[in-house]
Amino acid sequence: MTDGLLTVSEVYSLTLRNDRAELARMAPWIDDVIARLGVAAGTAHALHLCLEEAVVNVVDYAFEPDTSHDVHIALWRDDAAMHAEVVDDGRPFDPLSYSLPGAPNDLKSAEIGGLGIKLMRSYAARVDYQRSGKTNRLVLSFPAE
Amino acid sequence: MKMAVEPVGPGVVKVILDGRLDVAGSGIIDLQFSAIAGSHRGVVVDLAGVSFLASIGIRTLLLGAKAVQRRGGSFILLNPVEEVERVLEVMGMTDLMPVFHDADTALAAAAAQA
Repeated sequence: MTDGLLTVSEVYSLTLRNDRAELARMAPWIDDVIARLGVAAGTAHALHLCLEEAVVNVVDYAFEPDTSHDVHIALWRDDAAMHAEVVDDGRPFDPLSYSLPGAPNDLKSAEIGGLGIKLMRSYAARVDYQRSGKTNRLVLSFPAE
Repeated sequence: MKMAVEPVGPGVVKVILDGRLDVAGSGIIDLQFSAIAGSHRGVVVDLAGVSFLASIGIRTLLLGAKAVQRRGGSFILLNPVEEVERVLEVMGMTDLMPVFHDADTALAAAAAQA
């Protein structure tokens, strides 16, 4: 490695429509990219988990009902980290601003909502969100090795 | 995603899940799973075949556990793989749904409440 310069891999991308049925295409694609990029098993699991949560969230909540949109997903790595990006043109939503449900005390009071965002924020080493124009850009990062 | 149901005693049932509990997997089992949880007082969910658990799957389990508990019953998770158990722990679910790694003990605990 050259001092101060990161080696960055090719960027792999997948576009899904905002339809839950489209999500079936994502897991095999992630596995395929991971096999090419070579990441640790724990990171592979965290990546599957966080992308599932991030993309389901966009598909379920970002758009007006009965409108068709694309959700763009990209994966790449550098020497230190694996990165996953989710880009959509839905309503602004910053998962970092969402207040997480606390640890549930008992079954009766345990909340059903907010679980996905809590998982994503627990499993990603870093979460960056940016709204520019009409676009949401979420970047999740994980240790590569 | 596959789901098999084994009656093990009066009001007690073992539910065997196999596959990924993600959006697609939960969508397949949700209705049947909630019907089972809504009609038994002892439910043991065998998770050994579940390779992946996302929030949508936690929701399925949590709603089932709530339904069983409302009627004073017992909802128990059996043999999750390491990554799945870790997800349950991170989300605080292991405090709400006991996790067992021995089938006989799990079934005995579920039967005790039924």
